Amino acid sequence: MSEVVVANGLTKSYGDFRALDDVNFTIEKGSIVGLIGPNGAGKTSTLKSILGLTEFEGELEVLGTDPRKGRHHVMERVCFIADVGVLPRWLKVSEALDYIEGVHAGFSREKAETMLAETNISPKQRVKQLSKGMVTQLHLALILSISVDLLVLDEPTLGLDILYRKAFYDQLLNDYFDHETSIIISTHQVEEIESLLSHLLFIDQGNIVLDSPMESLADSFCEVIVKPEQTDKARGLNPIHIRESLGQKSMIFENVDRSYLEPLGDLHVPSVADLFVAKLQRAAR
Amino acid sequence: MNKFTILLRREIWENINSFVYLPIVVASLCAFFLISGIGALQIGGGSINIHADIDYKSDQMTQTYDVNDTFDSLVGRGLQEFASRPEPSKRNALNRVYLGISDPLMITLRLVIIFYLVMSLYQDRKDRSILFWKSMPVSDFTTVLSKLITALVVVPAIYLACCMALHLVLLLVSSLSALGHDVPIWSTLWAPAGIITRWLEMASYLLIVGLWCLPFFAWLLIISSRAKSVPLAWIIGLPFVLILLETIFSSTGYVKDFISDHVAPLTMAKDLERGIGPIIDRVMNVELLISLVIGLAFIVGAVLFRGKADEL
Repeated sequence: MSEVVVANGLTKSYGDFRALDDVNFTIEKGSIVGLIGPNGAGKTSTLKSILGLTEFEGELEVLGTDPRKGRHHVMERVCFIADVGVLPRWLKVSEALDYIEGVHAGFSREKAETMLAETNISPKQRVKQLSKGMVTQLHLALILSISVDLLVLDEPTLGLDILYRKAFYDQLLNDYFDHETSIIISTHQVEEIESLLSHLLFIDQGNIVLDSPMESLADSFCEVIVKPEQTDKARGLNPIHIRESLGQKSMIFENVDRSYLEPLGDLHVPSVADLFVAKLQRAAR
Repeated sequence: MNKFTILLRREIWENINSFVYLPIVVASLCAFFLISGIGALQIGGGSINIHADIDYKSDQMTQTYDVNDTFDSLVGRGLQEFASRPEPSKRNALNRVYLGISDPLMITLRLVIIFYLVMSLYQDRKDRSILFWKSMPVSDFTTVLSKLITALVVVPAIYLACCMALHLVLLLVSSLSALGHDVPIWSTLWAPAGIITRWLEMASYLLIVGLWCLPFFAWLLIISSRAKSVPLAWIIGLPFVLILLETIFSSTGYVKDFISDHVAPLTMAKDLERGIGPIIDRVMNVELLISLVIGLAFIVGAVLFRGKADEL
C-alpha cells in the first residue's frame, strides 16, 4: 500500500459553517507533506479528522482504516504533536518514559534515553522544572522514539524561538525521517519548512487550492522579474500574482510555457511563501 | 507491564500527595496522639494522685467509681474489669475503638476521592496536556475506567493500608500499657479486637460504599469531563433541581432520600460497628441495582464527553 491517507469528499461542518468543503487529497507513503493555510482555513479540522479526534462526513482512510473506528486504534500507528509544551507539568521524565513504554507497543525506550542523554534533561526532573525549550526537546524525544507509519505535526513550533525551531526540524530530518514514515506538518511559518517538504497542500476556506509535489512546482509555476519595458506584455499572460519591490515587478505565472516567459525577464521557481500568497489572493478574488 | 496497571500508576504519580503522603501524615498524627496520650498518662499519671467521680456506663449497668488513686492502678483496675466482661461486650467496645481511630483516615479518604474525581477529567483539559494523553493509543473508555477504578479501589486500598498500620500501632501500644497489670493480653486485647476480620470488613465496606455511591461518583466524572470550569454549582445543581422538582410536584421523598443516602451514606458507616452483615443486608436489594444502572449511564456519558473533549 503506497497511500497513507486518502480523503474523498471530506467535509466538516460546524452548524452552517463548513470548515472543510468536499476536500480530496492523497498522501503517499514516505512523503513529507506541508499542509499550509491561513488561520481558520481548515488545517486543524483536517488533522483532527485524520487522527480520529473529531466527527466528519465523506470518506477518509488512514492506513487503510476509517479513523472514525476510534482514536486509540489510529494512535497505534499514528503519532501527533499538537503543540510542543503540552506535557503535564507534574510528570517526571522517568514517568513519561514508563508511561509510553507501558501503553505504546512501538516505543523504544533505549532510543528515547539516547536522545535525552544528549540534552541537559535528567530523568528525575519534572516537566515544570524544565525550560520551554527543554520541554520541546523532551516531547520530541518521546514522540520520535515511537515507531509509527504516520507522524502528524500541528503547528509544532508555535511559540518557540528560532534556535529551537531550527533544532526541531533538524532533529526531525536527521534522527527520524527514514523514507518509511510519512509526515504531515501544518504550519504558517512556511519559510522554515520549505526545504523539508516533498509535497505541498495549500488549504483555504475549507478547500484545497494547491496539491502538488515539490519537484513539479517548477513545471507549473514560474516567477519572472519582469523588465520594465515588458510589463504590459507580461500582464497579458495573466500572472496569478504581481509583487513590486525596489522598483522591480515580479510576477508569478501558472502553467504558462517557458518560451513565452523567457523574453520577459529573469525566470526562477517561486518560493513557497510567495506561491502561498499568490494562490490565496487568487482564491480570495 | 499490563497497560491498565500503568494507567493506574499514572493516577498515583499525578496525585501522590493526596493518595500517599496525606494518609501517611494523617495516620502518623493519629499514632502520635495515641502514643503521646497514653505515654503521658503512663509516665505522668503513675506518680500523681487523682480524684474523680467517674460514671462508667457499660452495656449492662451504670456504676459510679469513687477514685482516689494513682492513674496507674486506675488503668489496671479498668483493664481487669474489661478482661472480666463477656466476650461480645469486649468485641463491641474494641470494635468501636478501632473504627473510631480510623475515622480521620476514612473522612480524609472520602474528601480526597470527591476532589480527585472532580479534577480527574478536567485538569488535563485546563493545562492542555489532554493533547498529549490523546496522542497515546488509550481509548476514552479505558481512560475513564482507570479514573473510576482508582477512586473505587486503588485509593481506598492505600488508605486501608494506613488504617491497618494504625491498628497495629494501637494494638502494640495498648498491649504495652497492659503489661504488669496482670491481665491476659491475648484474650483481653488481641482476640476480641479481631483485627484481621476488621480489615476484611473494612475492605468490603469500602468496596460496597463505592458501588452504592456510584451514581454520585460517576456524576462527578461527567462534570469533570464536560464542564468549562468546575464550580460547586455544577456538582450540586442537578441534584438540587431534582429535589426541588420532587418537592413541587410530588409529596414523596424518594429522590431526596436516594440522593442524600448515595452521596453520604452515614447510616452505613454507623452500621459498620455491628460488622459487615447489616450492611450487606441493607444494600442487597433493587436500590443497589438502580444505583449501578444510573452510575453506568453517567459513566457512558463521561466517556462520550471525553471523546469530544478538547483543550479548554
